[in-house]
Amino acid sequence: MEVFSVQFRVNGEEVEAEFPAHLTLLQALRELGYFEVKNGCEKGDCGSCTVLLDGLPVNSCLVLAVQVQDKEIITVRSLGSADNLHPLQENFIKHGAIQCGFCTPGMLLSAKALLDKNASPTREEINEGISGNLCRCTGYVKIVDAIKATADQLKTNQKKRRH
Amino acid sequence: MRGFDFLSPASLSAALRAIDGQGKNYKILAGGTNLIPNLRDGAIHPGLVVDLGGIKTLKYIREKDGRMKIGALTTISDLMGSSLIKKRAGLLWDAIQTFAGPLVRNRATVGGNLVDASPAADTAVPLLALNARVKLRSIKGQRTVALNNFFTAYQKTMIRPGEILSEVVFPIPPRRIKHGYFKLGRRNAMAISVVSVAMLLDIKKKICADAAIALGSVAPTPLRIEKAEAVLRGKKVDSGLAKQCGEMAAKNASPINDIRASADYRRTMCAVLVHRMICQSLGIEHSPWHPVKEGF
Ligand code: FES
Ligand code: FES
Repeated sequence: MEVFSVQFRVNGEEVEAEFPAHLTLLQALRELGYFEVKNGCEKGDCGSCTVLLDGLPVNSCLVLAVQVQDKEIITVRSLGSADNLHPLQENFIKHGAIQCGFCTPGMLLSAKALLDKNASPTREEINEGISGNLCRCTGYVKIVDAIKATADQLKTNQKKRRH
Repeated sequence: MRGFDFLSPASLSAALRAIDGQGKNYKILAGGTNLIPNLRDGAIHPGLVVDLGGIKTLKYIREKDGRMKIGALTTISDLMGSSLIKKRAGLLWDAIQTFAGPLVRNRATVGGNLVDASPAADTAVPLLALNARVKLRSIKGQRTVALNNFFTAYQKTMIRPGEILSEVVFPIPPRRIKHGYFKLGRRNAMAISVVSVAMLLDIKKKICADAAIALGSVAPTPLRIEKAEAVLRGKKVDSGLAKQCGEMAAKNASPINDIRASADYRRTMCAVLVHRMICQSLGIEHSPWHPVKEGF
C-alpha cells in the first residue's frame, strides 16, 4: 500500500514518518509512542484522544495522519512534568478530579484551551468548554472545581506580578 | 479502514481537476468529523480521498451588497468567533451555539455539514430559513442552487460527481426581523437533535408581512414548512394563531421512530416548539400548551 511521508512537530520536536492514508492521527501518535493520547471510541464522541492542533483542541481520531503536514501538535506530555506540574495538573490532583485517569489527558488539554481563550470562565462556560470530553468516573463536579481554582489562581498570580 | 489514495491540493481548481472523471470513486474531506468515522466503519470505500484542508481561499466570512458569503471550509468555531455572524446573522449564530462540542466545532465545516445532508444538520435548519443558496463548482463552471432544493432525499443532495460546494450565500435579514431557534436534544452537549426549529418573522404594524420556518429531524431532509408560514402571513399574530401554525407544521412533518425519539413525540414537539418559538421571538404572552391533553 502506498505510504505518505509526513513531517510535523509533536510537543516541539520534529517528527518525520511514513503513514498509509487511512491511518488516523490518534493511531499514528500511539504508534509513535505517545500513549498519553487515549483511544476511547474512535468516532469523535468521547474526547479522550484530544490533542492541540495548531493551538486548537481537536479529536485526533477525526484527523488523518496525512493531514498534519507542517502542523504543530501538543499532547498532555508537554503540559508539565512529574516534578514540575502545570497548575491545572496540581489542581486536578488537589480537588480529586482524577479517578481512573483515562479522560484526564483530554480533559486537561480542553481545560488549557479554554483558559487560553477565556481567563476567568464561569462554571457554565467551563461545562461548555469540556462538553466534548466524557468522564465516566468523577461526575464532573470536581473537574469543574479544579479548572475554576486554576483560573482563580492564575488571576491572583498575575495581579501579584503586576504589583 | 481500507486503504485509499490521498490528495491534498492547494487550490480549488486543482481539487476539481483531481476529481474530474472519477465518477463516484472519490470522497471530499472537509472537516472529517463524519467522513473519517464512516471510512473507519467501512460504511464507505472510496478509492481516492481529496482533502480540501490546504485550500485557504475556501475559508472566509464576508458581507457584500447586503449578502453574507461564507466559504465552504469555514469551521463552526470560525463562525462562533465572527462578530459579523453574531451581529448580522443572529439566527445562524444562535443555532451553532449547540453544535456538537468545542472539539468537533474546531474541525467541522459549514460546507461539510450541508453536503452530509443529515436531516438533523444543525447549520442547514437556520440556513434554510435564511433563504441560503449554495455555489457548486466544477471544472466546467459553476451553478448556484437554493438550499431548499439542494436536499433531495435522506442524505442525498443535488451535488453531481465532479462538483464541490464552494460557498454559502444568504441575504442579510433587515434589523427589524425577529428570529427564533430551538434545538430539542436528549442532552445539552454533543446532542443530535430530536427536533429543531428555526424561524424568521417580519412583523409590520402588528401584521406578519413574511415568515420563514424550517425544521430539522422531522423528515428525510431538513425542510421549510411553507404551509405553516402561510398561516401567519397577512395576519395579526397572537398565541392562538401561533398554535394553528404549530399544528400545521406538525401536519406537514413526516418524522420517523429512531433511537432518539418516536415519530409521535417528534410530531407533537413540532407543534409545541413552533408555537413556543413564535411567541418567544415576538414577546407574546403564552401559557405552556399541552397538545396531548387538548386532544391534538
Ligand atoms: S477516541 Fe477520539 S473522541 Fe473518542
Ligand atoms: S477519571 Fe475515569 S473517566 Fe474520568
